[in-house]
Amino acid sequence: MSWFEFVLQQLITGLTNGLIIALVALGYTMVYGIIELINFAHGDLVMLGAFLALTLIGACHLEGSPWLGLGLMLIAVPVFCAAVNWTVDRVAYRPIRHAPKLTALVSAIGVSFIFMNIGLFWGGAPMAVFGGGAAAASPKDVPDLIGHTNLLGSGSLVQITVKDALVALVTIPLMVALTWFVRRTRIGTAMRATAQNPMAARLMGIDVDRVIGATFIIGGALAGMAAVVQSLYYNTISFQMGYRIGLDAFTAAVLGGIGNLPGAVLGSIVIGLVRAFSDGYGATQWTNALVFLVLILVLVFRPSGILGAHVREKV
Amino acid sequence: MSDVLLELDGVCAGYGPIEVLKGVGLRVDRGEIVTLIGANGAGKTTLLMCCSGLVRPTGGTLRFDGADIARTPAHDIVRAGLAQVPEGRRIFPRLSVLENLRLGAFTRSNQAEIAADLDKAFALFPILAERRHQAGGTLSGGEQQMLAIARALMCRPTLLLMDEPSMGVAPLLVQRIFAAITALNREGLSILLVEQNANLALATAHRGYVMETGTIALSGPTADLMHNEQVRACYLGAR
Repeated sequence: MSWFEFVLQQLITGLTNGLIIALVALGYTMVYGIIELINFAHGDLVMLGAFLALTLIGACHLEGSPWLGLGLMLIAVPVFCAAVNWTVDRVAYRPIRHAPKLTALVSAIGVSFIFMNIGLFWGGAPMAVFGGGAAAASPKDVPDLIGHTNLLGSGSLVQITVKDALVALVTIPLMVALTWFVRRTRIGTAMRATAQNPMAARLMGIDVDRVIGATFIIGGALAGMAAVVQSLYYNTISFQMGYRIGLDAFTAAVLGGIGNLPGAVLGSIVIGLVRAFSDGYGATQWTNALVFLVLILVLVFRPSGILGAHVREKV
Repeated sequence: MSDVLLELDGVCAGYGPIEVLKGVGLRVDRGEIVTLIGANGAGKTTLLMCCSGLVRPTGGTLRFDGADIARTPAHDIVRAGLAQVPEGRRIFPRLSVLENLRLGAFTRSNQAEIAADLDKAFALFPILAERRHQAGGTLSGGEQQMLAIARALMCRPTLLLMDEPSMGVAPLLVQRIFAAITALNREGLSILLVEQNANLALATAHRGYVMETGTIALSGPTADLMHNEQVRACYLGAR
């Protein structure tokens, strides 16, 4: 493998990583944009989605019918995550909406812990895919439903696998759909209005609580999609995986400019590339530290993020 | 259909332990412009917030168009026909002028009527038509005020609450905005106008209330208030 092929491979891996991160980062950034809450439970929501995906594989014996299985998971898991996310807002965030911001943040951390413990409990389920209930805390293998055939042919050293294609085919249309939704639909416009000035939004006759609920539903559904794609791509899940996913996605959202949707995607691709090159050059043990370093550098030198420069508001 | 559109009786409200309104009584009849004047901190903005459902009254009664609205959600109050042009205008800065106006019609669904009302808004303030694709945040103070008024009108209100429409607006545009207020009233819109510029407010309105630290100190036809010694000394700058 020449250095060129090597770099090309890292680029492909990085892009794929970035697209997965982006689905999670979008949920982070939408919720932040609308209620200025860093929803620390968001990464753990992805983890719960991944556990549901594996449960479905085990319960419905999806190993034999990968495409049907994929379809089922891509419907059931987002619906589940959307419902959970909406419920969390209703139960843990909405009652303290008018309390100081830090209160909701602590609530979010609490939800994150609860999710993680549910994941730990879930990992002990007496199913073959969970190791028959033994060692609840250990990482679980996700069956390789779709394989990793190289689309460039078996002779090529550079690989674009079916998995890479799956990630792109799921994530990119979702991002296009989301952009359309936020720009063109009535509820999307209400979301943008609420994000920019919640009080004025209420004076327009917008039911702000419903708009916030819808935001949690959409963010949750995206997290569910990310959970399915992530599980099938990396083939391993653990009750602690939400921490790393959350870190990557949060950093990506801040890097792109928190509250900014294209920014979240751009930031995610940068983080995906950072991860891929760090792993590719044998510095795997430093990868998480590198992501944190990026986060610190952004917060110190450009806290508004790459695309976060707002229109100057006249008062 | 009674003549009384908005009626407050003994309304108390505040923020946590701080009581701002201490039993306010006020009335707006159909077709009237009523002004509310008073010093900073008297509670004028809080009163408007109560009417729009953004601050909950802790006591008293609050009726709009015959219905008790003390516990009605803010978005349903707008649907009932009570709109507000809030203090500081609160334009959506990163939405275009057109998007801002369309949001004003959020409670409505008849696209043909909305389009007709957009044309009306542009006829009322032609500068908004010129700037329709510009982000709201890039407009001047006066233009933003016009946008805020036009936006509030897009829900076809029967009562418009206005909080300091002259604040931060160039004098020439203040004239134009107040001319628009008079014109809208002639078309049948009832208006409750909170204004720092008491001279202008009393010249525009039919009746007025003077608010002092959470209560109504004086009220009456504006012609009487203009000649009241106390009002002249405190609010009209007369010696």
